Amino acid sequence: MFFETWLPDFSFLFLSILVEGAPFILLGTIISGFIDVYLPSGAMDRILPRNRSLAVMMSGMLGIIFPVCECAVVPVIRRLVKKGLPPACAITYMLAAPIVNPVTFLSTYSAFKKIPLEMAGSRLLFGYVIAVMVGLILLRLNVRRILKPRIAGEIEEVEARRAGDHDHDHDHDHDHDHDHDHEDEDKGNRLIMALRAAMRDFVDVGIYFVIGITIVAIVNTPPPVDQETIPLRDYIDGTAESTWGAPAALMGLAFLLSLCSTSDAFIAATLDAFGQGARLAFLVFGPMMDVKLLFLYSTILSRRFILALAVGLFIAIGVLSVAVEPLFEKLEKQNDPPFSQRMEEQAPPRS
Amino acid sequence: MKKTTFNQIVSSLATIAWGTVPVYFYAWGLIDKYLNESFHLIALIGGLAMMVLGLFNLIHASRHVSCGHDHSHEHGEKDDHGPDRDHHEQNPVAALCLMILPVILCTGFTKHEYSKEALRWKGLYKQRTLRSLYSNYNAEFTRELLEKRTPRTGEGNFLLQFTELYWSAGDEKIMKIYEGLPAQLEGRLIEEDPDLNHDANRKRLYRVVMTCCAADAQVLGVPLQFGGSLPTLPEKSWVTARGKVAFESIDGQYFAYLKDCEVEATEAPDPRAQSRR
Repeated sequence: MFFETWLPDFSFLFLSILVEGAPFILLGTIISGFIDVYLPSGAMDRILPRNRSLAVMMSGMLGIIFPVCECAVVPVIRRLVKKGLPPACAITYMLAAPIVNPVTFLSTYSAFKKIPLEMAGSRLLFGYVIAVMVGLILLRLNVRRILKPRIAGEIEEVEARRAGDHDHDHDHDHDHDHDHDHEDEDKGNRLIMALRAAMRDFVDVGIYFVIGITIVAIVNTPPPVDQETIPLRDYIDGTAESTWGAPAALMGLAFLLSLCSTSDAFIAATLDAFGQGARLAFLVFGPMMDVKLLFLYSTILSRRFILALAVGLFIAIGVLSVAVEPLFEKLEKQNDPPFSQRMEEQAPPRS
Repeated sequence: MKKTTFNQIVSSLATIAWGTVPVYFYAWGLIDKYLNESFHLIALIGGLAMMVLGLFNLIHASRHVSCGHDHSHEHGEKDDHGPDRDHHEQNPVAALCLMILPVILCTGFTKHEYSKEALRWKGLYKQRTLRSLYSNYNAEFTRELLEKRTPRTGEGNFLLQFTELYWSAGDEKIMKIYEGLPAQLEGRLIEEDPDLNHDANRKRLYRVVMTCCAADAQVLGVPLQFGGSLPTLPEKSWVTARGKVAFESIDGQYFAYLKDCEVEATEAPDPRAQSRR
């Protein structure tokens, strides 16, 4: 039984998530490799406003310019934090970017035919508001309470060095006007360094990604012992009528399924036993916190902070989704298209 | 061999191993079993990029590089992108065990599709409903409209979408519109749940519907009821099924099925051709 069915099913699921997610992780790590070598330390300070709260608010919108999904964003912010981006801004960007970006907006818009603009707009707005709220709270916290001790130590080292650079009159020239006879070789070396850093990040993040997707695959594979075990989806469908249970169950489902934010809206659209508020909770919570992200986050954030973040997001998004449910019910009634259109629109995309 | 060079080689091999998987799936036409078509090209490009990145770093594994600047300042500090430093969090053996081994093992064990048990678990014998489909439809949807918009075969069978028939169960007015319609469907054949097959005259047609990847797939099944003997095609064969649409209620839940069925083996549909249609 184990070798006949469980292992092949597990392997099938594991590989499907791997081939879906790995290209996005690679994209993020290549960006992070180039940031490492080509972005001068402190450059982010010059880009963002000096006012920390404004900087957090602006970070929440960076996904519009640099659209990345949740797998790709983690290696990028790991590097940006090491380059001096304040952790509050980095985490705001990390939470918002997978939602507040044009790709996610368009996919949500296409998935929800009944109230497309309302759903895509609410998702974007909620994602932004939640991320900024988290960022503003983090402004008050010490870096060491947020980041892994090793990374916090590295940042403090960089900050101390930069403070030292400002305090003392250094003789060395940071514009690199020393002899550049081997300019082409230097460029080649920097490219090698960037790609080497990219691969190091890819392996670092990849290991955590494997742990995350292993858990996702186990949860989604039927247990090898008891064929009468009730599938997860049946438990979740049973909560559809509950005001608080529905968003909680869908956030739990999003956590376990670990879907990509660029296409999770198509799954949410088929969960139609649930109200739009609960589905919005699914769409906002999933890209911010899921099983694979739990492990990806642990490459930069402290465990205690990840736990607090997960609980905080769960409560905040749950409360918001319950609050907007009546509004969505009103909108839905106003926008019901005729049945003949909906048969075409709402059937799952393809088999 | 220096430790950094060894780490570099292991990481390169791990990256190449990961890249090989999507490229292999794509090249052998297996990718559509794992991913929705919208991710095929991303997976291929990502896989190739992983292989290039791994190979590039493998070739330069032993090369000592710096960005050409003097990073040793007077006071002995290093810049934040110090030359050739290795901040690996993981042991290379961990990289080997966690990145290369699982991929090799899973590639060896996968059958590129769900087992019968997993299909059952994913809803093969369940009937789900899309509540919003029925909640507020207006009077314009009639049998005439359905017949007008649905293409027919030369024998007069309506070419229904699998999902269309599946989701039609649940609302009495909609079911009346579809009831008795001569229909043709394509799908894979599997045995019927014994609890739903008391007269032993049924098989089930199913399709796997995925949005992103196989992990989020839903399995939709439609029973086929035969007047004569049951077809003897192998399990999971692709078939064309013809019959009349009917509905039945089991424990208060409506199911769509085809009665007076006949089936014939067919080729698996080309997903690319389907999406173009």
